[in-house]
Amino acid sequence: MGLSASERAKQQEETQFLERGVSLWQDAWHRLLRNRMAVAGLIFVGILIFCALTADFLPPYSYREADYENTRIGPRWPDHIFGTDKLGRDVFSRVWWGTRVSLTVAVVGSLTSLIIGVTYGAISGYLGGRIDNLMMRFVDVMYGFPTLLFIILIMVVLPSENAIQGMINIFIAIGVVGWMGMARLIRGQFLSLREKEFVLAAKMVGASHARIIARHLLPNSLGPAIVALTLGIPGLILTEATLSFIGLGVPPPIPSWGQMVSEGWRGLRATPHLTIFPGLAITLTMLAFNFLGDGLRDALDPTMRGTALVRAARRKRRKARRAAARAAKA
Amino acid sequence: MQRFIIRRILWNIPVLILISMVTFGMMQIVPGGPFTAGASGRPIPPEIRAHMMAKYGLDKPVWQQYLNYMGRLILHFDFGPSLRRPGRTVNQMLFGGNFLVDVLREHLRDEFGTAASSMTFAEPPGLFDSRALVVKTSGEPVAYIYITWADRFEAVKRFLTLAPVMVSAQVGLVSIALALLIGIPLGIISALKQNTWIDYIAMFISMLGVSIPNFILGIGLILIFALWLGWLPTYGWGESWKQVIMPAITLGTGGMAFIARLTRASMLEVIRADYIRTARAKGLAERVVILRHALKNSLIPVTTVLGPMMAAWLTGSFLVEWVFSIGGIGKFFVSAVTDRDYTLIMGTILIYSTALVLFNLAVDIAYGFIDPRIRFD
Repeated sequence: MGLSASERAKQQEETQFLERGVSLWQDAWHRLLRNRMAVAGLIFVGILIFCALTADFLPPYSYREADYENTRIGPRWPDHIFGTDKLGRDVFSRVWWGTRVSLTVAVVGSLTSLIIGVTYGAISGYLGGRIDNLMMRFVDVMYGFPTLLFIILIMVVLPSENAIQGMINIFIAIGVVGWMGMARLIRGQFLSLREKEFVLAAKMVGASHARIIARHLLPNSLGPAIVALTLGIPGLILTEATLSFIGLGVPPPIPSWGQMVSEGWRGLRATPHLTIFPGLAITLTMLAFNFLGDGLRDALDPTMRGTALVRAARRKRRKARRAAARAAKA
Repeated sequence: MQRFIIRRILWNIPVLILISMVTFGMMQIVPGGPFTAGASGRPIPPEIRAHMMAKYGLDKPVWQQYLNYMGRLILHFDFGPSLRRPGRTVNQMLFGGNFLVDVLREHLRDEFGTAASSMTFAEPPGLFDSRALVVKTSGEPVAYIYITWADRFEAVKRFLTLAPVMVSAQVGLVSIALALLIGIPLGIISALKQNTWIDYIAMFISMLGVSIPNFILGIGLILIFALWLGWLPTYGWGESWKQVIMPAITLGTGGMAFIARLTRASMLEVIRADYIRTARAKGLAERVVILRHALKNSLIPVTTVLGPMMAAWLTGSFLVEWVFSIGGIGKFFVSAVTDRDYTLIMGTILIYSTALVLFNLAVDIAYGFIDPRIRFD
């Protein structure tokens, strides 16, 4: 190899840099922070979490507080900055409370599809063979299935004593519908991982099936699972908003953005603010989660591993060289 | 190839039967039935309900109901009566009834004037009958009316333009054309200009397109272009070209954005392949390299998503048809389920799953043309 001395030095530096033991997660985190849109998404999601946590005491009004003297007023500074709806409820406070619904569906739906999908996919992928084939054909049939009928069925089957419980049931139903993608992903990961040498090594030293799954296969499938989970969140939020929009979702008076749009758009000409603000809230939330998920995927993509840090190291070196040159001139 | 296609078509039959069985069983498990509440929402007394159930054969065991339903469907292409809309059949709601009757009725009106309103046909005329017997409501025969080719063409034309299935298919077709014609070029351009501002803008737009729920996009378009600017009508379909624009954008944007991202990703992969380097090394023009060598292979993922997408879009989008008041079949996908209109649920699900199966088959066949290396046997 005809490498010049400087090139060889450069390579050595890079390998040293990588050998310093940067974990996958550290590396991914650095790469995520370099993606501007992903950081913007992350900050927006942080704001949403803050809004959801403080929805009970920070907003100027409660979500159900009606003011019959001031109904359907447009955005007005400073008391109703997003206006009020037909009952005189403050739209700003209701949109604020709505973050809670959207984030809850994200969490509950993700957990549901994660639990079912990982269990199913792990069994299918680990066992392989005929059972795997059978289990995957079942997933295929589930794909071609009427989602709405399924969601209604689950909603009715789960017991609910109050509105909040009913809301959670809807979210579980939404998650149950989305498990198939996760199952396929985990199964694919398991199928390829279980043929790897380190699994064989683990078997050689007498590790049990449970240990191989829990300590070797699952951790190695975690990256793609997290990416799929993040990228699946917009879908969950969209399903909730759509269900609420068509009147099958979160029951009023709990303010869900989809339901607010559905109440507002009939009076679109006279009171567009009733539609615009919750509509913007849904769109921005979906956008934030999409950018975050996209950034996570790029950051966790194993084929890209190391490049960001290598690039950062190169930049640092270039800067140092330039500083040295400046110093030499002076 | 032919053997593969035939085998795939045959394989789809048990799949469809399985879907019909599961749907039939599941809608019966869901609590509530078509007759638990009347049109006004008041509960129906149990005696009356039992009578109605018996009338529609819902008191029989489920397997018997299923066999009756499938028998009628396969032998007569009869989807049965709607359980929630008395006097309407599911065939009418989905396919818009018998358009030949309408055409012949117009002839009767020309012939007999107002007297035609008291006349009907002894039997509903079929498309390939040569004549139909016209009778008075009392049953007394009046005359034969002969069916000409012009009448048949007129009936087919009306079916293609007016039938709810076809209205939904038209909306879907325009949207898919939009999604492909904008999405693929957008993806190619941003892949070729990777990491330039063109790429960033194109990808930001497509991210926005993926993120905005289509009902919100539709309402937003109505607000801006219909209410504020007054350029486009707020609702309807099939009367003016202006009515096409907003529904097509509403339905097409999500798919367009998705296709753009998909095309970009696979294009990026393909243009790094060895055979592209070979093509460039041969001295081929860049345009030829991209359009002849790279594009074809980068379209395979797009083709894959096109199958389910076409099935979903051509059978009607509930949200788009609701927001723009379009008379397609998309709205039945929700209303049938909430009404527990069993026959209508089966009708919509069967149309959708048949479309899904057929388009997936079409995709598999298309693979063979795009990439001759893909073989099936």
